[in-house]
Amino acid sequence: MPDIVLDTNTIADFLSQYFKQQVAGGGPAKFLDEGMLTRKLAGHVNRILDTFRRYQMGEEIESPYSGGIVVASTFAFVELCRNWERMVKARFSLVQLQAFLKQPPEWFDIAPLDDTLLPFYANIPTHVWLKGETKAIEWCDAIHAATADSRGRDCFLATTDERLQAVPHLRTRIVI
Amino acid sequence: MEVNLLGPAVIRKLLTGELEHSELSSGAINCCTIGDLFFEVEKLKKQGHLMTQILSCSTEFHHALTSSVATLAPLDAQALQSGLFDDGEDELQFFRQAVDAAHPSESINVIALRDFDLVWGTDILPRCFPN
Repeated sequence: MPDIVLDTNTIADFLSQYFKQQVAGGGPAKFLDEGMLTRKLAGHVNRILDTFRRYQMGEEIESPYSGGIVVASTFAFVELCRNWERMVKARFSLVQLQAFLKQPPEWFDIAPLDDTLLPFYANIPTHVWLKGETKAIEWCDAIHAATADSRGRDCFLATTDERLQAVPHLRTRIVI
Repeated sequence: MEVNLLGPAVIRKLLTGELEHSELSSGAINCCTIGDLFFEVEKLKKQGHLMTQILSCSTEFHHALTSSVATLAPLDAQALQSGLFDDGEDELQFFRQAVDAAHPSESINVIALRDFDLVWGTDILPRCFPN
């Protein structure tokens, strides 16, 4: 199964549940259908989590990574911090965020914003056709799309942004 | 060693080929930030500039990186850890310059440069982005 990239809106709700549900522990806690984490998206993340847990329990799986991992761009975290009060709504603390950045779970990757992302970024269109008119894609949103493309052409993208959802080569890979 | 921050205009010229990487000072640390880089590429995209050389990583900017004439300050997990937070007297807080910046690309630059300064022992952030 391919990776799934979370955009800024979804990472806030993801982290909120990550800490609230204590999914980092070895227990059976799972992500729930709540806020931006729709049933489909929560199910997708839970399947990844489940594969890693089964591997840790000793089940014969060649590699837990074959089931994909959850990914977010470093830029998603910057946007989250720039809009901390509005997006986090006191659901988790700065100390918790710092701890996550220092040691994310092994099924989560913090994808860098560096020169290797540039060709994927250049390939994201500047405009899309949406609801009968041309709409510009914000460069911030294009970074999430480029991050998804950089993980392979089948990588999923969890985004609430309608413009990204209208990008032709992403349409079938949007999970929300 | 001399330390330079390559500004958006220089990055743009390297991306378009108006400036060759060999024209950059070779005896200096020529730092450029990932925020400026992406913002300049965005401008070129919106102006309809051909992306062929960027897609194939063969611009003068890329040559500057591969020949180590220029060094990129990226926004990676390490940069987030060292650039985003400030250990206050009582509690952990944000490094305000990073999160209060007017534009997201400026936030990226502040975080990336703060980490770059730590790694390279330079003072680019206080010199070029005084608080």
